[in-house]
Amino acid sequence: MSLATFLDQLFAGLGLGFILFFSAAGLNLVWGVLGVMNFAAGAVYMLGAFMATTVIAHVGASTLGWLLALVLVPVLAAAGGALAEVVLLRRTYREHDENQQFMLTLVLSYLIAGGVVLVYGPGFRTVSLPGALSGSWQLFGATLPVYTAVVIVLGVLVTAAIWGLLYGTRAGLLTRAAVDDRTMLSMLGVDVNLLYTGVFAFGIGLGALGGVIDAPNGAVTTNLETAALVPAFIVVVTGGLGNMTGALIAAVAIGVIESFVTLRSPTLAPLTPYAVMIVVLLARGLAGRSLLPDRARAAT
Amino acid sequence: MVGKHAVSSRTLLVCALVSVLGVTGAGCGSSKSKATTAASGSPIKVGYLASLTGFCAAFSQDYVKGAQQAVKTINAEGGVMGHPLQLLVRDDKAEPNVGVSQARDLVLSEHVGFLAGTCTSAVGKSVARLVANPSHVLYTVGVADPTVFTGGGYVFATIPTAEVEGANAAAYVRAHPQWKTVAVISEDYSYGFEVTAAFRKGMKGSSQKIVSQEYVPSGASSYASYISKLVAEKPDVTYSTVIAEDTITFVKQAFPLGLFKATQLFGILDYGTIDPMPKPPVGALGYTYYPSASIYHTALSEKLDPLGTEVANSGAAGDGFNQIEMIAQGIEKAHSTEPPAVRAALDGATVQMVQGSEKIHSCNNLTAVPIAMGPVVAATKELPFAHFSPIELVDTNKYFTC
Repeated sequence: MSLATFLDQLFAGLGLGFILFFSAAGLNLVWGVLGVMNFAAGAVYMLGAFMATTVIAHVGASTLGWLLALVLVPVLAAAGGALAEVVLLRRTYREHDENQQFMLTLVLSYLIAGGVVLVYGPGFRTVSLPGALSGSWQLFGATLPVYTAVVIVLGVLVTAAIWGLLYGTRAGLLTRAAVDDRTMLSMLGVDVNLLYTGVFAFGIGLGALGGVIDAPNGAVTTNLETAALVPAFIVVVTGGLGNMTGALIAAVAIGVIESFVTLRSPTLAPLTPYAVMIVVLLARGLAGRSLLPDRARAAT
Repeated sequence: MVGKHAVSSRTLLVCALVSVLGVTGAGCGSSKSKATTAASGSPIKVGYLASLTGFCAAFSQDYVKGAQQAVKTINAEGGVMGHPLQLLVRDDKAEPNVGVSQARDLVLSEHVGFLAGTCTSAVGKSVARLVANPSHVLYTVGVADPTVFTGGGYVFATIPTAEVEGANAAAYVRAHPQWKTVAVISEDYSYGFEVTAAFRKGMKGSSQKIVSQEYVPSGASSYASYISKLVAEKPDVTYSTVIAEDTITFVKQAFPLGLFKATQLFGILDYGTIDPMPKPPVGALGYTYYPSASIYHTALSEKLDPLGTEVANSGAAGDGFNQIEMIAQGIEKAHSTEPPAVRAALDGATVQMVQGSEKIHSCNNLTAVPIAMGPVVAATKELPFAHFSPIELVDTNKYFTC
């Protein structure tokens, strides 16, 4: 294998890996901190992509339009997420009713999907990349699309930002404390409800951000919901439920491995995420560790 | 493509939402109220299956619009033997069990004798089994799986099957001996497997070498690793049957990775997909077996014009239109609304379609519609969307052995 081919596949794998990470990040955060398996994560991702097409259609396929979508869509989605958390999910924490959480997030996903079809129709949409992001660079004979590089950089920045929020701020400290003992924190006078709403909203915003970032990569369709949700679960389970660093490593590893498997056996490549997940779970099992890590430990 | 016809598609959108929410589609079907019924007899009901949600939802609105347009024009011209057509649209969600359930309900509750539509072979195959004896319901559909159709059966095709498509692609590649190496990239489901098998069969004995074969996951968000592999292999030509919205994702990602500089792309490029591309693959060699109105200059292609340039050229609208026309013409030929009589009348008949006069082959009920081929060019003043120019219309009769 030549260096150029190696780098081409590496870049493709990193691009895929970071897109996978973005599809999983919101789901992972909400699980890690709140213990809510958000089945609406795929729908939120799809919604983010569709909303990006609206913003870009109005502002234009310019760098400004794309940046605006990158900021505006997650903020709007987070606001919607906050509302959904207050109205639907808040009452379920105290009862630790995971069945109710499952049903509520499932209903939420149906509502979002139905809303998208109602507003945008069942057809697909496309958005152009701004000229500055649509080219590519040549590195040692390999081709690195500018947008792939942007996705990688954004992925690193988002991970750093989440890490910084969790470990460098008082809100992060309280969030981690809430994972350990919500009742104790409440007794100390912290508004845990507000904290939980904030985390859920942030997770939803993160999911929508993934959709915005993915939108220029291809056709924006209602199929994005499933296309995002299944890999997101694989990444989250592989990386360790709630473990953001683990999710990043898992997503990038899956992307890169899949890319190189494509080179040797393209027919088997789509099975890579499942194979990696099985291997990781088996390794955990053989090492005597729980297959699904303890949430409190994972979030730290 | 989406969003410019919001008013006319409002009913469909509501039905799709109702379907998404899991409520059965009462009142979500008929276009009768829109038809200008010059005909006065009792209506002839036609059940129309459309994948308004799920895989290929993106194109199913256009199928329905085409079918509705056929009903509208037929009824405006006096209907069929004095009877107006009544279209009952149902969402099959691109799932065989849902399609069968909807078809069964249309037959048992609505008493339809004629069914049409769906965009997936999986649904088409299941519904084809349902309409086999003893129900005697005639079904017209445009899907690529050849096993859906059998001579003497009640299922009639409006597009070539994957066998014809693959054979034609192989003949085209063989006609270009300067292409010494060939890569094939296909969808990883039945359509992709069948068309690839037919292509490989057609390439047997050729000195041209197939250097790679890739099956890409349908609906994936990234094809970059497959594209990078093709760029590294630098085949003289890449035969692609990546279809529908996956084409858009594939082409969008192919540009920055330099695919179009590394190889000549040849393959299915329906107008319905190259039109909405922000940057169409100008110079790629495309083909389509769907009847986009601007390709043909026939009496029926002109009847698609009221749908607007975009929908009329989507291909899906033309196919939906043809499915209804075939039923209407079969009834006229049979002088009967009884499906067995209509089936007998269509057996080996020549029917008028958007593409022109086309023969239905008796051995398999396939209509030998042409395949339009040509290099992709950018939008022009006359044709304000990416299209083929010049266009070669391939007579597919030569691929029939019966």
